[in-house]
Amino acid sequence: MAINSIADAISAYSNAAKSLGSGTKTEGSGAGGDIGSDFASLLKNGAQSAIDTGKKSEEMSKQAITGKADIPDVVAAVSNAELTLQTVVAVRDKVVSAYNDILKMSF
Amino acid sequence: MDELNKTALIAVSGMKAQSERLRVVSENLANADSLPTSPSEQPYRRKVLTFRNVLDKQVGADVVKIAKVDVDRSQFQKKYDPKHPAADSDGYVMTPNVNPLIELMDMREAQRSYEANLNVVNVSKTMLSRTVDMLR
Repeated sequence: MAINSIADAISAYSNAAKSLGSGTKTEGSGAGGDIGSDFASLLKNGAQSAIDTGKKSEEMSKQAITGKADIPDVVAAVSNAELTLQTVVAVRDKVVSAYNDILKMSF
Repeated sequence: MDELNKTALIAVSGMKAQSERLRVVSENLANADSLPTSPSEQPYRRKVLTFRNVLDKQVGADVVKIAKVDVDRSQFQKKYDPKHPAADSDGYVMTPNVNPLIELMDMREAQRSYEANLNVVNVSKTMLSRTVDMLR
């Protein structure tokens, strides 16, 4: 069944979002936990983790400007944030395109 | 945390350790001619640093840290210069136990090691972003 494999895909996305959100405290905790949880909470989780790593990287950059942080640390934090954002954007695009595909279906 | 992220963090610790090492080398090189100002004083003593592996709880792996910046206890060299204010009764001045050739080799080693760690960071980043690119 196509619907089943879509549900599988959604749960895979939510697992991805959960691993994205792990290590950072998200407001909607547990939102990505259930299999087949909604798109909104999945995206919210991913976006939250991207925001958190982004904040961390900004904090590091700030410390680097004032001479308090080492450059390698800053580079690691910034590239980590960049990669998290890339991942979230890629997952979002994938989910949105899957959602669109479902909308286009004629039952 | 992602294994590849951890890899990058471990390599970053190596980069930091090597930059500290380069700092000590530059200290030694810059002070290679720091002579005493009186016969009772000692010249600059060469510094050496030792690395140590430390378990980073956040990363969950051994990262490298500077254990200690110690001094090289080898003998000072002597130079015959009776006109120098720090010359002893025989006209000899004690000079630092720094050998610029050794420092330059140490500098090269620090540079190569830094580059090796940099490559690890690069490779882990490339692997991660190429994996993410599979979603596109």
